[in-house]
Amino acid sequence: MLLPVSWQNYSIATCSGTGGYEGRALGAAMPGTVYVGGIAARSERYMKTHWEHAKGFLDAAGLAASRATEEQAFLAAQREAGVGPLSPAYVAWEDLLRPLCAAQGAAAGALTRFFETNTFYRQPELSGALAPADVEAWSAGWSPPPGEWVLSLPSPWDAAVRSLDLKSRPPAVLAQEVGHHLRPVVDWAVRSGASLVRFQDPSIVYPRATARDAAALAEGLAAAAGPHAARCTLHLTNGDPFAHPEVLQANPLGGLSIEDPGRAPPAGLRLANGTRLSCAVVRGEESLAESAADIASRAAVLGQRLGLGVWGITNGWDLDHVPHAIAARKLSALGQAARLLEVTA
Amino acid sequence: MSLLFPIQEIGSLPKSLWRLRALNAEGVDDAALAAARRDGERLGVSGHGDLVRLLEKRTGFTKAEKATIKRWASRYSLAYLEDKGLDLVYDGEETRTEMYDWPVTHSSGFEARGWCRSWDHLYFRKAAVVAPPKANEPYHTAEFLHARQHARRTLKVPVTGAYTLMDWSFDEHYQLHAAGTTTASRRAAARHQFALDLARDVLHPTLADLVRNGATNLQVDEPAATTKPDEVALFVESFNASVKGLATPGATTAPVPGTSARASIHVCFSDYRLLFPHILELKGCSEFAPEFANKDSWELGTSDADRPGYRILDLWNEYDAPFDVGLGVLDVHTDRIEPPELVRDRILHAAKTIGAQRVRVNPDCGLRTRRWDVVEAKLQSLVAGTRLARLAWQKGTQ
Repeated sequence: MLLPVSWQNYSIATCSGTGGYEGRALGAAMPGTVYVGGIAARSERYMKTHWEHAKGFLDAAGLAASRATEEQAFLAAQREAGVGPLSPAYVAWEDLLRPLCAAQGAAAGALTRFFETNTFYRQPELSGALAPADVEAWSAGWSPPPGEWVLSLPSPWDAAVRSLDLKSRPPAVLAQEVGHHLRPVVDWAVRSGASLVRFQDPSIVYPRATARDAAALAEGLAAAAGPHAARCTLHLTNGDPFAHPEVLQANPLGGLSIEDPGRAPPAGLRLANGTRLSCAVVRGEESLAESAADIASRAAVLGQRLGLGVWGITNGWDLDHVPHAIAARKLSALGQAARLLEVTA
Repeated sequence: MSLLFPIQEIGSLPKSLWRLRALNAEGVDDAALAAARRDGERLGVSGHGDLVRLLEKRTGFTKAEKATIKRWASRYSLAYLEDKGLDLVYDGEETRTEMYDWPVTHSSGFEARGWCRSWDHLYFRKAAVVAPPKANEPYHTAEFLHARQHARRTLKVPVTGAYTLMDWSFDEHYQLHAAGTTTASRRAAARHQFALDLARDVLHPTLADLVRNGATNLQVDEPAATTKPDEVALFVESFNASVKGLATPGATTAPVPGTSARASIHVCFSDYRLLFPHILELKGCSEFAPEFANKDSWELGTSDADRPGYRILDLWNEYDAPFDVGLGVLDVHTDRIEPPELVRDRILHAAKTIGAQRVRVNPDCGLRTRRWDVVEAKLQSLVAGTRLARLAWQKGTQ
């Protein structure tokens, strides 16, 4: 549903008391990219085959066929919604760190709670130096979508602090190692047409983080991105990014993706000129679907708070935290927001 | 219960092949039929021939027939746990759908929103609260009465707690009506009201009816208890409201209407240090049963260094916590089988740390995610290891 107002003239009425933007027109903050990232919500059809495989009622080939169907369906849903670049569904990944567990020197360890949720992941157990990634371990079960596409990966810092290192190496060292490990995946993705690589980090601005090291985050990201830093984005969730300006300022990548904390940024926050800002205003953890108007206005507010143009609009938490039908509604709303922007761009 | 290291169930069992097939479109095949016959004979389930005859229909079971099949599954699981040698048993939660879905679908105020992943291939159907919740009926009484009719051992009834039901639901009601000056304060107020409404209008009437009908051991399952560290006090408050007037620490004998039961709390997947000191405010809780084994070493030994997964027991002493411990000695998230000697050492370590009379032995959590052959081996080890521990403790050779 397109709004009966032009984007240029759509006034912001929802941000009272958060920086004095009431009534301003959105003006020049024109995003060019509306996309989803992270692991997609699974359909009940896929869940059934997944469970049947685990219980021995379906063989590996049957599950692989089901995954392929799921990946194709997610691409089709994105095209239908009108969002892009396209993202794989990453159905083969049981969690964002699971491919790391396949690396030499790593193994899938204890089931661990994903922050303050009822979702769990296998904690990677690192027993030795991580070798550069075998790309096949990360790309098993999905293929790069045709044309430009989005690759989602864990940020090296996130992977470091959520892993168990059996040699007790500090997170800063592990982040560097994970960064070097991920580099071949990034190189391969860029060769395969990826226009955006999103490094997801729910750890570094988490309020109860037991470790926080912006410099180590930056070094890990730089190691992973290599010469492709300009097309990479640091995606921060699970906390107030404005509470940790040092993290935002240390970001060595061309893009920054954050949720709206609902307040003005700290005085003195300086982001690099030309930072490609993605506004993660679709809440992957909430069942109530945002409207296109809400998505658009929240993104504009966030951009104005930071004094940056809005380069992209996306989801915050991965959409696999909500049921498939709700994720589909959120995807649709994101697409409606995209069309709303096209009308007025 | 004066038995040293009593062995207790702690949660659900996997569903039997014949139950799964009868309730799903596949229908009952020869293997499922043979399993129903073989296990009925082996476990001494009286009248199991009636089940076999019903299953011979193979497919197209009516709603009433499906309910009958679930009740048979309940009897089989009860007999299975008794056969394995557990002292406190239940029915594997065979007649329920799942620990969250069952109470939510038996209460008003919720609407199903779809399936969400918990981990790997395990999913649960998640609902949104859209109005203040209220139990439509005491939703565990029928299964309890059926189990009591067939049980030869003491029953312990697992009931999903109010805080977990709140935390696992989407909120499409309370957050829209909560008062507060900030997003965070409105959210906190919404969750507080939601949890207490669940305690008062869903949990309390369900637990009260169980006690009225003779339940002596209640286990409130709160796997979400420490999910949000700022809300541990809310978990405690909601538990107290749920069991108010029903439970008394130490009560173990059969109550008649108006008397009390023994209530325990099972938590899992948590940072248990967060529970302290809040849980000292629990009223009517006799026992706390967190997970231990999934963080422990597989090497033998009873020293502190040998048993890293059991370090939280020190908190019992540090805070002078009045609760017994439901000691998890089996990691339910791996197919690897704990040797009886490892079970023994875990128990002996706990007994040395907090006192033998305060230790009850159980798996870390329900075994429903394991295959039956793994469940079988793990429970055998649980019982054999506990017997070794009893012998060692009594001989003073620990």
